[in-house]
Amino acid sequence: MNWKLLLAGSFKLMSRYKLRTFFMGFAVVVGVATLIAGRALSTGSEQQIMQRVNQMFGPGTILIFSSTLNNADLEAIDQQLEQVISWSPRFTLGELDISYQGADRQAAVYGHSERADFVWNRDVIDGRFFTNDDLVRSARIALIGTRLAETLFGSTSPIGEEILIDAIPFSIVGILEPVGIDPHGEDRDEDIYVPITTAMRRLSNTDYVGSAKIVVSNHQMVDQDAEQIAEIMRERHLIVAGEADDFAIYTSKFAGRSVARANQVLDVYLMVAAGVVLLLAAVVISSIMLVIMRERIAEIGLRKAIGATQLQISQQFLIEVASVTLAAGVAGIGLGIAVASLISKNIDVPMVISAQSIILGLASAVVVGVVSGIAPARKAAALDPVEALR
Amino acid sequence: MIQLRKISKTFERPGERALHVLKGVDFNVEQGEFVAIVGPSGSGKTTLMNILGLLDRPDSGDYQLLGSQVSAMSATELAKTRNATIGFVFQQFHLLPRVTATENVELPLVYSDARDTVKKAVNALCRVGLEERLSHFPSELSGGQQQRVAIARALVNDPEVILADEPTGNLDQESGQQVMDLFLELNRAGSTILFITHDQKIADQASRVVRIDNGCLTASLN
Ligand SMILES: Nc1ncnc2c1ncn2[C@@H]1O[C@H](COP(=O)(O)OP(=O)(O)O)[C@@H](O)[C@H]1O
Ligand SMILES: [Mg+2]
Repeated sequence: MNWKLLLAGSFKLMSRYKLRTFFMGFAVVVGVATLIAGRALSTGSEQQIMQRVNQMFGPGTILIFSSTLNNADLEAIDQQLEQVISWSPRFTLGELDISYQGADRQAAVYGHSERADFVWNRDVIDGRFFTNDDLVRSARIALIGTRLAETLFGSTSPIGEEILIDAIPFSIVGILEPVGIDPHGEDRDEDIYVPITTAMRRLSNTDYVGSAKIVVSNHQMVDQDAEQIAEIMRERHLIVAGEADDFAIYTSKFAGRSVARANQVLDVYLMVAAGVVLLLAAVVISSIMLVIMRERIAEIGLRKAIGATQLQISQQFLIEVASVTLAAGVAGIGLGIAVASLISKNIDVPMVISAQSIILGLASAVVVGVVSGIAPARKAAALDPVEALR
Repeated sequence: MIQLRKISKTFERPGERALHVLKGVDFNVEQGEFVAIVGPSGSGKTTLMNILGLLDRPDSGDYQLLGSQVSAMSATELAKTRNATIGFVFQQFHLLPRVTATENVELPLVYSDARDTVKKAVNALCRVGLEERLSHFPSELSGGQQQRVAIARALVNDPEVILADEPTGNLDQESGQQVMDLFLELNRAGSTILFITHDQKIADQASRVVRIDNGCLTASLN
């Protein structure tokens, strides 16, 4: 058997029966393109979200929320757990009135410690961050986000300027690193940071910090570390077994997991959609094959007369249909990439084409070909040459 | 070369009497012969040719081809033997429509271990006088030319025997005669040829004529 010749013959027939080849391949092109574009965008958006999550959380971080959380709790955790590298409380003041030279607006104000640049992963790009001294003195100083700085001060530097927060004057000492929109849709570049002691004493009147972030040494162990922290909290807050916790703890792993889960749903949906299209493709191809079989009866009879075995006839049919669908798969990958990059540009989500999804695309194209070719191939192989040539 | 002993073939027809097409046919063909098979329409010529060409099996009787017992061969062996030792020519040519003359002639080589397939195909087309039509499609050729492409396809694997079922049946007299001239030439060069015909004038050109009548084979004087 001369495989090279058989393949060359199949490709020639494919190119000479353009319309038939086109109809057989079209559904596969659409199915594979759906698969490729879908995966490219879903992987891209997952990576984008994970990047943002990591930017906000950082790997190996644990968040505690509690209306009765105080610095003593955090110091106890730091002392009892060796793996704590650093920690920093955060006091959320919410939206407060901001005023500069008579222009009024609102902004989200947070109280932070001098370690927030590392622990909350947000440094200044201009000016200076808080110092221990600022916290001890409860200094009336502030750091502001880039977009807020732009709205209030335009192109002039805000550093050294004085703004009113809740009618209390604060002097701006730095500009916060831009981080963009968070997963909740809030623009974090409109934030204002003040020393947490100032926030608790001058802007509010409380002993509770409300939330804190703790950085641990091994990011693989955050879930176990979080459990130990919960134990310490229960002990300190006198929560007995069976009683509900008065705090909530989230880890970077938890956040990653919820993003991944949301994406999995999307992935499954896309897979099902592409699967349905490919199934339809198989049905279409199978029926086209059976229709052209009728036209090709004489050809099959002739091939048998000149020495093709049943096996060779069915192999030829499978090769023909699989090479059409493989070529359609390649075209589908091209189309999928084109569609993904078009959508990606319009909705500002990066696209990621993995080798995995290309292999998946090609493999599903070939599988569709072989599956839809089996019935016609068997029918062709079983044909009686005497009948076929009559 | 070919020995048929008491070959019978019956077609069962639903709702009708079974049709005994061949009733114990004895038939020998020697290497280098040029035999015409004649007989009225429906007399079983094609049925006999299908059995000779290993496309069909007789119900009973014995067939030896080149010393081998055909009834003992598997379907795959039959296919291989057809490819290597038999060349077919049909009344309807049976060329693949969107395939050039050369590619059509190359076709049997797909199922063999032959090398230089294009060269062999071109050589065969030269032997039938179509060296000017190598890349023509069947639709661009006359009936006689198409049949000569089919003969080139039958020749390309150097078969021991060429079986032609009414090769001139679809041709006008002139191209029919050209095909016969080609067969005569191939036979002079050593090919063993068996052909079926209706046409007495065509049959008369063979070195031997046999007649099928009522399921039996009789030698016809020539
Ligand atoms: N597969 C078949 N089933 C039933 N009858 C058949 C079949 N093949 C051929 N016949 C019948 O057998 C007879 C001989 O056919 P055939 O060999 O084609 O004749 P010829 O070629 O001499 O015209 C015809 O009457 C034909 O109708
Ligand atoms: Mg006939």
